Amino acid sequence: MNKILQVRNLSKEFKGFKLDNISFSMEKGFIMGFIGPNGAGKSTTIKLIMNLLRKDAGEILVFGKDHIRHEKEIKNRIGFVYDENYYYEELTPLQMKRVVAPLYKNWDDNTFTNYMSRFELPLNKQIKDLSKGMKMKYSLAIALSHNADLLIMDEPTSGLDPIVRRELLDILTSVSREENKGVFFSTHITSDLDRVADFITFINEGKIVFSSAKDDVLENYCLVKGANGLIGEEEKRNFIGIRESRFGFEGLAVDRKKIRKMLGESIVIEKPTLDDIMLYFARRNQDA
Amino acid sequence: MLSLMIKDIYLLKRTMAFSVLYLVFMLFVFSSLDNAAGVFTFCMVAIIHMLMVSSCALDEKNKSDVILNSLPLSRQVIVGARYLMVIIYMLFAVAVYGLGTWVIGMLNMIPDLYYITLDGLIGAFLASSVITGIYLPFYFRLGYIKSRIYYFILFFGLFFGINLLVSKVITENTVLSRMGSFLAEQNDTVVGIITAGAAIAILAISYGISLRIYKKREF
Repeated sequence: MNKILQVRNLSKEFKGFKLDNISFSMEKGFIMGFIGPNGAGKSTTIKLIMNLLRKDAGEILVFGKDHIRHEKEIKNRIGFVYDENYYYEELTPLQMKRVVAPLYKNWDDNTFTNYMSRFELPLNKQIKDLSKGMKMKYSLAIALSHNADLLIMDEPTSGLDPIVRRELLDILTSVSREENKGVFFSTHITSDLDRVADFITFINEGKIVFSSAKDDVLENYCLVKGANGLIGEEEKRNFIGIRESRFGFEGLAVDRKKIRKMLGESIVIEKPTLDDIMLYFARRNQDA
Repeated sequence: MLSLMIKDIYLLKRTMAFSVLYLVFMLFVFSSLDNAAGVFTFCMVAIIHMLMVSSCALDEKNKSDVILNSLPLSRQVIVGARYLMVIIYMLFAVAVYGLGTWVIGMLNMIPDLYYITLDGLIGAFLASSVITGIYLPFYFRLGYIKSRIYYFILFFGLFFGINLLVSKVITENTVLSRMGSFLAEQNDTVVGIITAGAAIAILAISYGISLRIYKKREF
């Protein structure tokens, strides 16, 4: 069994939000994109995996082991990058490395030095004086320098310019493909995942909508476009979400054969993007 | 644990440098007081507490609980490192005080300086343990900003409470007054051992409370 992350029936309730009985799993050597709108429960799930929040119910297994009972062992094998810098801003990257490195059993100073020079990061400048992109790269350098088997990243690309984002995605791809590591990567910028993700888990309002191979997701769903008069209330029930304007309608559906049979040749069926899928699911919940 | 202690030393380099000036300032301000041993204890507690609070403030500013709890560190170690740092701060404060009084003594700037004694050290250790022992559970429960308010209320409550305790309760309570008489009858070594034991016990109890609190914290 190569499952490096298993989340089973996980629940956590806050005032005004509930992560509701979610389950998904991922395997070694793949990148899983964890998508959902803001406030859907992505960060909560990641914090639960990292034991920064206490779960109300459910089970989290990392490398097949309970994430609390084997916490130290598991965290030795996890590299993390969060949406903002949490390293001490008053320290330099070198000082921070000296604090962090002895905590990891498999810390590799050469790898760290290589990443620092590849990312062109200064060793002796205070972290607070680094740009957002540099801080993120520094977090990534730390995450990649202790031979972690799983990288957990919470919105690492938010606020980064396209060049740094692209660079990050390239690194994640090479880490996953060449080093056989797992990458669990939350984002609401789904275009990042179009290029790199193997699997997609979509969370909306605290519930998992789907967790499947990206190609299956893009294959299973279809974006339907047509003239306004083509669909009535009966037909609309076959759509996950629908958007109408005076120029026509556009909707997301699952069964393209059924849609084609129902609406004939006068419609256009396209492959949706992850953005389309997220948008229509989110809209359906808002309308409900 | 050593990593976390090194981290605090990196973070507090400036505060440590400042504490040297602060000590010299305190020595001059309190030079007219008769109670030289009291001045020593006050200087020790002030420096230790300043370093402790500065470290907590920087941790809160950097939201460091997120990183610390994402690293392969147990919560026991995170809490324990804070308590062990009290000893490091104490060693630093003693070194600063020793150096400060030596230089000031050489220059003969303040007459009747209090030079460090073992009794004084143990007393300062007890006082620092009480202050730290009260402060840290509040810090681990509420964080730096919120804990300050509760801590000040409790600290001054305790300060005046001790006066009340000494003036009223001890003299009226036979168990406590017997305890006082017992200590008065002992030689310095026994009193020193009991005082140091009490300081360690206070830190140990406080650590237990802090750990219990911190294990339930969410970040």
